[in-house]
Amino acid sequence: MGIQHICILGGGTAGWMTAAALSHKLQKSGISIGLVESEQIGTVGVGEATLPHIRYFNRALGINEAEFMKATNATFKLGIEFCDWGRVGDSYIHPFGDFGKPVRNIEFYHYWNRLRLSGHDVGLDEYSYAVMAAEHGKFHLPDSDTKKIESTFSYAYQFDSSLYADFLRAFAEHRGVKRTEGRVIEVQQDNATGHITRLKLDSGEYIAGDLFIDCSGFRGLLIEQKLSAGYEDWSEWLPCNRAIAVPCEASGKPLPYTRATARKVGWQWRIPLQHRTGNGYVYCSEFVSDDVARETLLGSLEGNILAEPNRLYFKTGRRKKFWDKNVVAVGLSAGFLEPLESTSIHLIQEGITALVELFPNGHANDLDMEEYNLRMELQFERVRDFLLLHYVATQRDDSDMWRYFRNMSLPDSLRSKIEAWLSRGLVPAYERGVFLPPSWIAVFTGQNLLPRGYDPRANLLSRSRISDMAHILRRTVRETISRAPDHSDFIRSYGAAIPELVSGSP
Amino acid sequence: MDKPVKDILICGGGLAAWITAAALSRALPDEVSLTVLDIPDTDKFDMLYGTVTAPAAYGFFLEIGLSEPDLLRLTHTAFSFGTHYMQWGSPSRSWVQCHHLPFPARDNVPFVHYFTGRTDARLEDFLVSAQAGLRGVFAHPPEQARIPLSRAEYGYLFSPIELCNALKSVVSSRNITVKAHEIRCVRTNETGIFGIETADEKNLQADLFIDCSGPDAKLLTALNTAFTPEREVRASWQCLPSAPPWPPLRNVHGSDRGWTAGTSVRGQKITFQISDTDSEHHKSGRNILFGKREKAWVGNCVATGHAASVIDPVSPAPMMLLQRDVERLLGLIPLSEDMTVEAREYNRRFESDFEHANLFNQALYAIDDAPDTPFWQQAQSRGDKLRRKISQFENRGIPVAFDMESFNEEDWSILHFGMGRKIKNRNFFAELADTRDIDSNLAKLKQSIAQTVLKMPPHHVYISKLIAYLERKNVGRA
Repeated sequence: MGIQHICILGGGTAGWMTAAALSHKLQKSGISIGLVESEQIGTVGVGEATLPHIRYFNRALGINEAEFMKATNATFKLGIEFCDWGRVGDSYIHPFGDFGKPVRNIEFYHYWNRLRLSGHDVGLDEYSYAVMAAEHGKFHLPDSDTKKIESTFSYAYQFDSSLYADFLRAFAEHRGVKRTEGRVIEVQQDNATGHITRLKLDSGEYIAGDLFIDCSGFRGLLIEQKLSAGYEDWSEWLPCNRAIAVPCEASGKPLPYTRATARKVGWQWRIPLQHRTGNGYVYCSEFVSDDVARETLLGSLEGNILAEPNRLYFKTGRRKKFWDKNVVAVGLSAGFLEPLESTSIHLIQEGITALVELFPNGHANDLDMEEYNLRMELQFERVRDFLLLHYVATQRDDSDMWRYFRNMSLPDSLRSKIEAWLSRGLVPAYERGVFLPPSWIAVFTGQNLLPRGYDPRANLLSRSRISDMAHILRRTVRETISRAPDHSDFIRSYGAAIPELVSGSP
Repeated sequence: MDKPVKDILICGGGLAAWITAAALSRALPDEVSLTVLDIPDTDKFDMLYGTVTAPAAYGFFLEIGLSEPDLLRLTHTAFSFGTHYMQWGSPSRSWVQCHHLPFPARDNVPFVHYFTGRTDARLEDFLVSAQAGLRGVFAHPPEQARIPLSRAEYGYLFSPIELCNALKSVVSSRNITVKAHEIRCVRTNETGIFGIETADEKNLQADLFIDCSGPDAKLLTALNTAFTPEREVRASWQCLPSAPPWPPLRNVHGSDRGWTAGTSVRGQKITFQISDTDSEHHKSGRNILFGKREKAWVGNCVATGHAASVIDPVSPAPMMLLQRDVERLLGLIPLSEDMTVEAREYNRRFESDFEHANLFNQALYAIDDAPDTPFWQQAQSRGDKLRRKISQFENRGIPVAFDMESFNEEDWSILHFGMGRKIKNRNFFAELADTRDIDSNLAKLKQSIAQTVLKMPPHHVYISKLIAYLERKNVGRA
């Protein structure tokens, strides 16, 4: 006898993503899946941005892209624009895509570095199809012909995460997931094993389970409040601990990218959905008061607010054990990293993927848990280093917060990565982790960390040849983009537009 | 910027030296001068690079300017679908450790799980490279994905001495200075090496010194870089003429005292034997220490090949590591006399490449009922990563992979199955899958592999025809 009943606690994005994935994967297994959530009051359409990996998640469930986009007010996302990070007034886009293509097995950016060090002043982003398409508000699906420049990017979505949860709820309920409305008032454990046996709801009803997925949010009702799995606090590196979020009217056509603007304390996001814009301000309570934060956010919106601002409190870090006894934490209960690079939903997805791959036939054992925990640890840690890079790769020192980052002693892995880049444009790579070298290069160059030297293999071609090659690449990017469709037009022609967008513009 | 790196001196005369020279001469612009100090006798341990490569060698050789036609023309190299381990640790343990592209997966069920708990089907029956290897046939895998042979991958069976000579001749047309002398002394100061005095009393200087002097690591040793030994064995080898057929597999026979590898290149059979150091029967061999240098890059001196590490040639690990050393160096050619960043990155990746390649070798020896003899007992090791690899496979057939491993997931699956490791808990999704459907698919696959293999020519026939064709078309150098 193995797992017969899975109980998912919490019905946010994490809960319904887990329910949808498990109900799909386990459909022939005879395992029943239940989800307990308490009705939320006034769910607000705050936008949420994602990473390209989510497309594989949806595809694996057989979800139709246009239908899903229509149901979640989704727009396409080619990357994130970072404003005021390196210096006030700067901006750059971290794209889902490459910078040019390798020549003679040497990445294009090495040649660019050589040109730059000899006086060429064209930014690396002009060689990125994704960046240029984003800047011009253009979008189409990547071309499958890898020889074409239109193939050198990927994309994700910007959507209303509560609508995504609703969409997946319908999907999951259709596949037999039983939803129970209620608040947990008591958690019961087996005396001998410490495993959780059942949850008592405020209605008096009991929900039993063999495996519990804790999607109860930051407090970790099961994993922490009951099992005390422990939390590894990363506030020392990522001190922001509060956010305030609010949707507002859009001021123009939706852009195919998210924006993250650095503030004196913390940063502000702007996520364009089809008919409105999600906004939020992430800050550190030690450096700014809640009232000032609220004013900062409300004072910089592009349109009228559409709901009361929503406050969030958190502590960056990760659960010491993501899987403990018969509880697996997915979502905020597993850890929190500020959404600067849209990794929240991605880390949920990684958690679900690992759970499915390791899904126990029979009872789970210590080895299952160990493997799950090691994999998730690595994912969280690698995201942390990449987020931290944004704060430390900067020339800003105009507030206590920025000075705090200036004086910080970095994790060794990050410090040596920065040194390798600065000395010769080298990006020590890894395979297991979300952000690959092009992402690091985008942030380095975008925040004015420019190498002093370049890979000597870039000397194999003459400077004039490299210059010609770069010129042609840049022209090809520009010309191809001039023919590409406008982002909103593409959403409409793709059949993914909601009524407001269909009628919204010519 | 400070003084740029203009002079590079490669010290050594064996395979590592010439592979490094071939790679650098292709990757560096003419302004950088390249000198090889061809030290006599530094090739005497080259046979420890093994006589087999993994599939990655094809692209690497091409990159350094040695195309496959050239390789076939200049040496007696043959093709390899893998290694056939026989009587490995016990009389009944034998399997083909073949090279294969990713296995097919159906309905969420990884291919390897079709074999869990079955006694009537073995993984290697469904791997075209294993079956072709066992039958002694070969053909280049085609690109069309529908043909079963397209899933096969191949490496090479080669003589390290011949490969070294082939590289020498390839490099001879390039702009490299060669000097043949013994080293009399390596002059060092606190920043590294400032000169190498040769037997003819010349003092050679360079901005970067590359230590390719073999296991002695004459340069790194002069810089007081310690060698961390793992274990000591006795090794011997010989080459004898041999007539076809030549199997497209290296054979490795295990015995209580060690193992014997047989590699048939065209017209020759290379036999390589390893045992424990006390073996009475193996007096002719030389004692070899497996292990690695604490650091492979110190100051202005970097080591490739045996000067950096000596790893057990029981698998293609030695050639994989040599390739990694050279590739790592190519990406880290220093820009100035301050090589701190380059050294740190080289050493970090060296450490990890060695560890990961060595894991595979250690997994080959990780047998619970291994013979109770010095050789097998000394070869046992159970670090954390190895334990994780094996225990996760045995638990639920989960592949554990680390960053940038040379051996891929298929290599590991074939290894685990070949060694008879059992998956204790059947995969959840395999349990749900329709067994009749799986059986019929497996039967079809097996049949199409059998048909493919029947149509393939014997390895030696294929090679002779290929060489005749290349000569006719005048492919490769004249």
